[in-house]
Amino acid sequence: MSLSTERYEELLQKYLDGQCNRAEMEELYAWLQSSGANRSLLAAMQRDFEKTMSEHHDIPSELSDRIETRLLQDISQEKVIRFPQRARLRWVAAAAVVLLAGSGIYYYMNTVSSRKALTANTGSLAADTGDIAPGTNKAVLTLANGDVVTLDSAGNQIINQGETVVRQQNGQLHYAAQGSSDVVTYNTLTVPRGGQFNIVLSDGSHVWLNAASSMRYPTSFNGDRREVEIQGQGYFEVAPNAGKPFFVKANNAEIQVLGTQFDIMAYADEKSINTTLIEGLVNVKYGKIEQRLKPGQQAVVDPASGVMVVMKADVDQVIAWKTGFFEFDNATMADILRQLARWYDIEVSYNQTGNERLFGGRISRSLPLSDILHMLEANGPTFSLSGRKLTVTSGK
Amino acid sequence: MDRMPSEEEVLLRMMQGDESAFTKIYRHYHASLYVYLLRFCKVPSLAEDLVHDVFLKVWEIRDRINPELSFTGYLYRIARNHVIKTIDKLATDKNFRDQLFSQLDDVYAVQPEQQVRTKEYDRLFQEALVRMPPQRLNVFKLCRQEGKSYDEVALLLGISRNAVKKHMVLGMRFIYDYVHRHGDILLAIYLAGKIF
Repeated sequence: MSLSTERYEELLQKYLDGQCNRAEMEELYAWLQSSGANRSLLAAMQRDFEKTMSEHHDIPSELSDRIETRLLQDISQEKVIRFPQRARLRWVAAAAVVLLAGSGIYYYMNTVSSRKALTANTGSLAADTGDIAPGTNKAVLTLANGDVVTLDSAGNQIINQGETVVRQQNGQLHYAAQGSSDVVTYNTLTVPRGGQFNIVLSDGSHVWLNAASSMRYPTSFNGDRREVEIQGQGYFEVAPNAGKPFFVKANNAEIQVLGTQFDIMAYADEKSINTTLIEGLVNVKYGKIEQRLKPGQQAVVDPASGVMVVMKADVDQVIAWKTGFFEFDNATMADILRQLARWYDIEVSYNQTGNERLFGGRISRSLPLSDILHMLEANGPTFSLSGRKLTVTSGK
Repeated sequence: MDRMPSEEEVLLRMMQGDESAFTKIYRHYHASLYVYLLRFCKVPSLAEDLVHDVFLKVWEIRDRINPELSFTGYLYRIARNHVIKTIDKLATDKNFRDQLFSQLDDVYAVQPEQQVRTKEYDRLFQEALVRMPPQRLNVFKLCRQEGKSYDEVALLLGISRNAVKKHMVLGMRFIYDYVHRHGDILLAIYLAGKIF
C-alpha cells in the first residue's frame, strides 16, 4: 500500500516537529529514497531553513564551545590535506605509513615500502646500524608450580601441567577445554617490553596482550564466574556464556563482560585506565561508580581522583596496536614516547620545554625505531640514541 | 536571520585566511544551524557533528565565497547537501538507523538534566580559565570575550599572529579537556554516545 504524496508530506512535517514514532520514521525514510520524494524534501529543507535562520536560538554553551574547539583545531592545521573526518581513518589505513605531525602536515612516505623490504632482506641491518628493531611475539609463562617457560615467535611446543595441556603455536598460547576439576590453578602470562602475545583461554575466549603487560588467569574456569586479572593493555574477545559471566580486573577497576569485544588499557605509567567497547556490552566498575558502555564508547577512569568519564571513543585508534599500528590523535610528545618505550624496549629521557605540540597520525609498528624518529624529527624534536637509551630534545 | 554586523568585511577577512573572522561567523550562525539540522537528523550528537562538518566546509571553500552575497545562501547549500547525505544514509543503512533510534531513547531520558548540566559546565569553564597560563588567558579573553581579531591581539600583546593562534587552539583544547576530566558523571554521560 502506498500513500499519496500529500500524506507523506504531512508525515515529513510531523517528523520535523518531532512527533513521529519509530514505525512512521522508518516509513518516511523509505519514502525519501524514492524519486518522487526529492521535490518535497527540498521544499521542506528550504522552508525550514528560512524559518529557523530568521529566529533567534540559544544552545548550551558547552555544545557551542565543543564544536568551536574542534573547528579551531581542524582549521589551524594550515597545510593539512583534509579528508572528511570519518573517511580519513579508512584512507590512512590503506597507506603504508602516514604520520600527521604537529604542524598538521601529512607525510607521505613513498620510500617506506622499499626501506621495509631492505630491513626484511638483511635481517640484521637494524643491529648493524645501531638501530632498534620493533617488538616481536614473545612472552614468559609462569605455571602454577612456579616454573617458568619462555615463549617466542618461533616456538611450537606442548606444555603439560597436571591435567592441563597448553599448546604454543608461534605467537599464540592455547588452553584446551577440559573436564571440570575442583582444584583451581592459576597461570600468568607476562609480555615484556618489546613483545606481544595472544592467548586462547580454556573457555575459548581470546586475549591479545600488548607490550609490557601481563594477565593472571585460571587454567580452567570452574566456578560460576570467569575471572582474570590484567596489567597493561589487552584486547579481549570473550566467548559468550550467559551462565558464567566474565570479569576482568585491572588495577582497582573491574569490568563485567556481558558480550564480546573490548580493549583495556591499564598501564601504571598512563594517567588513566581506559576501557573501550568495540562490540557487545560491558559494565565498568571503579569503587562505587559503575557505568555501562555501549559499542564505540570508552570509560576513562582517573585513579588519582576516582572520577570515571564515559565518552565516545576513536575505536580504530584504541585498537591500532592490535592491528599493527601506532595511532595518535592530539598526543603530546610524552604520550608518544611512552608507547615507543614499551614497544621498542627503550629508556627515554625527555624534558618538555616550551609550548606543548600535539601530534596525530598512524604509523606501522613493524618499522625500525629510526624510521619513526625521522618522521617525528621533521616536526621539531631531535633525538639521540645511545644503546637503548633515547634522549629527546624538544625543538622550537 | 539578519546579516551579521559588517558581514561583508568579516567574510573578506575569512577569505584571506583569518581564523578569528571564521569564528565570528561561526558564533553568529551556528546556533540556528544546529536547531535546523537537529530537526532533520533528530539526534543531538549527529546534529553536532553536522554543524562541525558544515562549518569546516565553509572554511574549505572560503576563497570561492562572494562577500557581497548573503552568507546564508552558502550556508544553506552546504547544510542541504549534508542533510541529504544523512537522510540517504538513514534510509539505506539499517545499522545507522538503529543507532539513531537507540540514541533517541537516550535523548529523552537525559533532557530534564539540561539545566543542571549547563550550570555545571559554566562553573567548570570558569574554573578552567583560572588555571590557564596568564598569557594564554589574556589572548583568550581578548579574542573570545572581546571579539578582537588575531592580528589586533598580536599587535596589542606584542607577540606573533601565529602565537595568538596557538594560544587560542590550546586554550579551547585545555577547557575542553578540563571539563572532561572534572565534569561530573552527569556531564560525562551527556558527552558520551556519539553516533559515529
